[in-house]
Amino acid sequence: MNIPNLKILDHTGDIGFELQARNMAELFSDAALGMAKLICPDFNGTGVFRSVLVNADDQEMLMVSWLSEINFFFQTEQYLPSKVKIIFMEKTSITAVLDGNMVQPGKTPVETDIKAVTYHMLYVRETDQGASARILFDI
Amino acid sequence: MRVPARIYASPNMLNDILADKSLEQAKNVATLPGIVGYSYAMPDIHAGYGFPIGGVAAFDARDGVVSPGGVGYDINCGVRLLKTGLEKKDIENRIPHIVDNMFSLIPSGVGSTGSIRLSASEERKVLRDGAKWAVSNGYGSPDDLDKIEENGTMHGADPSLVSDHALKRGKGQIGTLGSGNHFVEVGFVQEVFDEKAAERMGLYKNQVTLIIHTGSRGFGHQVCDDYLKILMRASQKYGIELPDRQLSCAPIQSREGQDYLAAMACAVNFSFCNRQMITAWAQKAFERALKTSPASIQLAVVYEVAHNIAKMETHTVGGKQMRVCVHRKGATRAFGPGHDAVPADYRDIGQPVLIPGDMGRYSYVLLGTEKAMQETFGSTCHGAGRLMSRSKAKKKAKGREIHREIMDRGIYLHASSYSTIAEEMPEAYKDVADVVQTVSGAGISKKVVKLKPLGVIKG
Repeated sequence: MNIPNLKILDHTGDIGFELQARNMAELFSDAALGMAKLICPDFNGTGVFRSVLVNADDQEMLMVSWLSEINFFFQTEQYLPSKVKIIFMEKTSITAVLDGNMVQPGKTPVETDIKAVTYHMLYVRETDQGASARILFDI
Repeated sequence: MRVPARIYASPNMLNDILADKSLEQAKNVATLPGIVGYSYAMPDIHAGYGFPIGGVAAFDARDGVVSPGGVGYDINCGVRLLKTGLEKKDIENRIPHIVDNMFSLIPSGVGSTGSIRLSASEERKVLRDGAKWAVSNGYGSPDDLDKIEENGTMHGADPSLVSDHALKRGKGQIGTLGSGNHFVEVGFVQEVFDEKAAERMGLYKNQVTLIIHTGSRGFGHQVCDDYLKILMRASQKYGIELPDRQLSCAPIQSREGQDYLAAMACAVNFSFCNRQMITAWAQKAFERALKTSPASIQLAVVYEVAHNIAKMETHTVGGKQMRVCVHRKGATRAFGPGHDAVPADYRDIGQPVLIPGDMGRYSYVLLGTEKAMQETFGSTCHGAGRLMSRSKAKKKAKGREIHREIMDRGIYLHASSYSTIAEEMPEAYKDVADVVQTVSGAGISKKVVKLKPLGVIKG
């Protein structure tokens, strides 16, 4: 997976990224894949599907809840996505199907353990070019 | 700002402190409703998210707030120090065996899970009883509980206020070390600064010691995550303006505030139980490596502190006794002599404070002081404090053999991944001696002994 418009950010205790996309759906999809890349850079497993439905009070909370839900899959069953298909999306709700698989640490080393997706310095916004976001992770 | 921010730092630390956003974060904390005294920054301060790491803030129990961000994701991350009846010379040649045995017995690394599988009802007992559950299930002795903050059980825990996600993340993680800066370290007493206090703690020069640093694992992370959302809505409901959403909070007396404290107490207890169980695996590792009995190892808890926690305490504010909710995020309680919360064995000398350094240098045992009670709500620093981001440390480690560098210092290191070793290399941290010198110079803690590592397992 290659996410061209993703820039890794340095933070004393943690790690994060900024990213741009052509639209909000692509932004959410790229954020999920970017987080998966932070966790396990060489992972590209497919064939196991998970559906995700998340609601939140606003778009920023939606981004945190969306990524937290995907991290929950990793934390509880070592599952990571390699592809994301957004089925339905509006400002405070997202439904998607993930195509991925379980990470086998012996085969693909896990680089980062994400404790949580934070609200710190977070933004999710529409831009003239599409959409952009900044997300910091507690690791 | 409702109160000033106060930083404990030596002049040579200021450049590093000013280089990140930690002071701005201490200033933001000072804007929250009901804060009293000062928004404190300890010398190991560095930028967190919302609250700085190395921050202490107390809020009036009547009209102040409680904030999950003021505790952090790793609720009750903390440190346990154990002493042994062994001396350095007794184990010097067996260090690799001890450390390798610990590594195989203590599940470590990203997403590590242990061999303990608890039923839902047993998991709820862990959340209510903490280390007491571990002791009653054969992990350690009842004497251990006397030497743990809150005696290893934070009261008021209500498992019904914890989400299914948190329970699922905690399942299988009890008795595991995790990753990042968590570690188990075999070391020895290298230097004694205060003979009387050291003797009271049963510590003496060249004695072998053990430090366990870990927290509430995925369970605590999820509790924090869940309640940040709940308290974000509460902040709006109660009209609290937030300079940063990560500072989301609710009045202590509100239903949301009380619910958070009861859920947080579950994670505090998870963590107390976790360290109690890891101690049992460590004991086994010593027995296996030295082919000896528990009686000849004499592993015993000196003390255990929490450094990510919010607690209801009574302190003197403006000359009056006041009930406050003290948030310590990357800061340690450091109660002075005579306080009821200090174990009877240590009450006349003050509460032991454990300050781990990076894996290549040294750690300290300190004591809380009366001055800490007067100045910092009985609080002090918690460790060395990061100097470099993890990715910067990795860049710096490129082309070097950090593992060998650590081994060349006479420290046997067994880690889950090279990536952890690089991120956690000694120069990624401040020199803990500078941090300790600052709190000791300010009189909010007092040096007792310095510990030197011999072997380390890193998650």
